[in-house]
Amino acid sequence: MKQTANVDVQFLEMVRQNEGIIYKVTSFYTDTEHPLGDLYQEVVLNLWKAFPSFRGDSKYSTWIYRIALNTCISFYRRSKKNISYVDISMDIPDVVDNSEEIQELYKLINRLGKIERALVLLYLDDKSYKEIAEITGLTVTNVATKISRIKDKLRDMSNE
Amino acid sequence: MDLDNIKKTWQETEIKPTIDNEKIQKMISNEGRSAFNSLLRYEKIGIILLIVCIPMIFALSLRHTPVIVFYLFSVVVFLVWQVYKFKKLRRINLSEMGITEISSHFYWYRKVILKEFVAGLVWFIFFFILFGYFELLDDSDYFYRHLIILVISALIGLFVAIIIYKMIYWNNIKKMENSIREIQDFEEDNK
Repeated sequence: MKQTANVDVQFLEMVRQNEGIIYKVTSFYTDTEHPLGDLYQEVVLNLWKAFPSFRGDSKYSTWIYRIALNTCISFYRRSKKNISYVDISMDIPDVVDNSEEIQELYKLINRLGKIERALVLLYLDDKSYKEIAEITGLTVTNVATKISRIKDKLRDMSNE
Repeated sequence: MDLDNIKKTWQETEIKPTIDNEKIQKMISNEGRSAFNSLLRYEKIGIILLIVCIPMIFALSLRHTPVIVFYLFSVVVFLVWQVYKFKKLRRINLSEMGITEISSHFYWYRKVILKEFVAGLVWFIFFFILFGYFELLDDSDYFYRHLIILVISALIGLFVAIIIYKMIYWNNIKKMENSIREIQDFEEDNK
């Protein structure tokens, strides 16, 4: 019992320390079908499930990025029929301090593919190509090529 | 928009904490089954059902060796396949694998489910023909009655199989199709 409580405390502390990552990832994948609050909960739940098996092979942040992105992209989300989400009404402006540039970024990333969004996010968070490759499973060369293409794509999209 | 220009602003963007510990605790106690877990569960049920199919041979009161051999052989092959599929699906690790690796596993899974469905249909038709030929032909008094029962059972079985596949696989697989499509594009680029 004492051990469980200890894990609870450790987990809460870990979420608290890294909530910026969770918000940033979920904000990149939110849409009308998947509100920010629901995605946030899905990520927290999957982190909780994976927490006991975290061996510390990678940094906490890398591990959180991986789980958060896998949750948002793949099908680790639960069916809405089976669950009722905790009531948290939050929107991007409630959470992220919005500048005009950031607002434009959010508009444009909605037009990108899911893996492209992941690459943009990791690039913006100043992750090295090696770390991005580790999180996404792409090769370092492929990461570099993709990011370069995405940069051009975003430039073209904003000039449209 | 230049991604490099926005990088600094992005990193300086402040995140306002809005969720307290109590809400996080509520979130982690709010279980429910993800599409992935549902698939794993159904694959496990499939293994159990196939094991049950072995003693079922006595309940079916099959009398002819070719039918018995075909039935047992099929059940063993299906069982081995089911265990392999389950093990492969279980290897997918949310916290260890990268996005692209996970997506390619799902891509493989979707492909084999489609093939499995077609193979299952062929097997089903073949089994009923074999069963009908050996088990009904020598029973002249009730031949037509048995034939009608056999055809109706085959049609019901076929209908149930399609419904089960639709409910278990298609609906869950649909949820990952977008990710799969994107990974296919990425793989194309890597060639």
